[in-house]
Amino acid sequence: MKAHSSSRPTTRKWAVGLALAAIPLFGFDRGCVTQPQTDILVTSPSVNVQGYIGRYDDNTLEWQENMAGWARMRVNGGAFMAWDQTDANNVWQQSAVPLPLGVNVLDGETWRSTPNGVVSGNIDDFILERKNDLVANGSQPVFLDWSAAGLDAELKAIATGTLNGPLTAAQQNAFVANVKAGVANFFTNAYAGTSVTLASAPGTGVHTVKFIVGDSCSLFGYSPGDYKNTNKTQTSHVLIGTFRCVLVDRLVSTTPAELTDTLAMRVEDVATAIGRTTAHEVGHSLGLTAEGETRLHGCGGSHNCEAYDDANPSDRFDVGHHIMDPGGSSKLYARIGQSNPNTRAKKTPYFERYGKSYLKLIHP
Amino acid sequence: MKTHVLFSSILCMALLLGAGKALALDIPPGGDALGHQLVASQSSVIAQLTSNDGTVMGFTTAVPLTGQVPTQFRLAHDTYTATERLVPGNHYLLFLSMDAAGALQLATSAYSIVAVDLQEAASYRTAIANYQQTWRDPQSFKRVALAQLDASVPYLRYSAMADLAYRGLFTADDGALLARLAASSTASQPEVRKLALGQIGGLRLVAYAEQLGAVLGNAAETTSIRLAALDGLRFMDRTDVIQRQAASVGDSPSPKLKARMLEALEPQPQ
Repeated sequence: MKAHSSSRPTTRKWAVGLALAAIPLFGFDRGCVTQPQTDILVTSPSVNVQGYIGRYDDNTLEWQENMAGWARMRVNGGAFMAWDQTDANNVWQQSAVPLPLGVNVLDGETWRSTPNGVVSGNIDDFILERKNDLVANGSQPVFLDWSAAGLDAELKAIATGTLNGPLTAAQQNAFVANVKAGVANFFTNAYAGTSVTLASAPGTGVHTVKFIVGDSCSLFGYSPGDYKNTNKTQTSHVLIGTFRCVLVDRLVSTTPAELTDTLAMRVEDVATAIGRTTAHEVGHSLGLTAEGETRLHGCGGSHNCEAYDDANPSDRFDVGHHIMDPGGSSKLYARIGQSNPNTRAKKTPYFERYGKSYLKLIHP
Repeated sequence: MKTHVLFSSILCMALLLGAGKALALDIPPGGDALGHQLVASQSSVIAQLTSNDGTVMGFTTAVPLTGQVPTQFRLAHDTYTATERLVPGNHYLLFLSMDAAGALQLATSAYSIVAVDLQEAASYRTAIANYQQTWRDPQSFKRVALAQLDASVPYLRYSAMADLAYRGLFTADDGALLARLAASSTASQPEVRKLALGQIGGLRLVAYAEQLGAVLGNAAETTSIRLAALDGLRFMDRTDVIQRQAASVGDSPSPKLKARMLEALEPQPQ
């Protein structure tokens, strides 16, 4: 194996590639990690890390092709592991990368030979956090309880207050039924890959989400925070009256929604917003995003922490696109599953990788 | 006196029932700002923290602002207020409501506590009066909120910005103001800057695209500020400006910033 001697360059290849645009280049390289997912929780003391060496276009930054070459990694700024040569499929693998308990920042570098010399690349910093306090905790059934009085009227008021009317009674009834079905569908999709599933009735060991009208316009939902889900028979609340207040007041003025939208579009908007909060509150009761360095690094009332992302190579917060983002800074357009406030472009809220990895560990 | 004793007893009973609760909340966008807090609360007060044993906080009212608040009162901590660094002797703006048992509680947990200087009381009193008079009339509210953007109190500046932004009250005519608030040279707190950057994009104020590009490309800015600038440019479809900052984004240690930039340069799904 060729011992390629290169210290980690301080300037990334993207910058070099663009700064040297006058020189004929073959793009720039960037090592990517495909296995395991990055920015997740793991429980094993070591992992095999696999990836590619991608060649990117200097100007468009678009990926061009995967290249044969060499890659190596290190953990927490320690010594690099041995270089690994890519296989016939251009995959490199660093085997048995050791992971101490706690937050580990991994990075690496790549190189390959070209007729014009050696092209180096970086494998950007990423987090693999090893924890030893998380164990599989069986399944968690969740019952959605729509039995409270007044809910249908609140949902109908959202439809009539955000669409050009008039809407017939049949249309309003269909809106209510479809929103409730949409909430269940959103929830199921959000928790896909875990054993958090919908139940048909409440009971012992079943988490209940009680939809209520509520008496203020300042709270979408509340739930007991319960790191590691020590109590499976808990109740979360989602306040439909607050959705009526906020959506009627702000949906059209601050999101791509229009008064001229179809009823089906509004069903999806509202089901996504309520479904997101439903998944959010159940997430709290399962332990997301518990605060503290020994827990899940949440902040602001057990939510995904933007400040953590500012200080670490993580991707926990995304203005509401991630389900456990804090309410105050979760934009309304993100809550209804849109990527921006101006034009419709779907971006369904989801559990980011770190939160989903936690859920998969405690409810596989 | 009897009434006071009875009230105190009810408070203590409620405290015992409610102590240690750990309800995580999903509040609306800007739910921590003044507008939502006033809506969520039945009373507000500037009070001095007299005791804090980690379970219960004791307060003495210094400046009553809205509603009825006793001269002395106690609030049970929840998991989230318990982690706040609340210092006895300091003053706090509190937004209060009554729980089901009739006891005072923070309207929305830790979102309803703001550290204040007692000398700021007049500013809070004025701002709250302005909000109460104009909240239901968007255009009247906008006038007072715009003035409040230059308040000396950071929470009032943030509140004005959040309440204007989340109510959709900025227009293209506010471009110069938003550009000033988004500029790194101002003393604006980060939350105000992020909201301003997003508003510039949301309103498609393309005249300020280069300013947003400069923020995106400035390695001295935090990732969250740069992401707000990136979002602003994305909202106004200025991928050309985003593209020009590729080198500096590539130099960032944040995989999140790079991932978002690559997303922004990809065609949007419909």
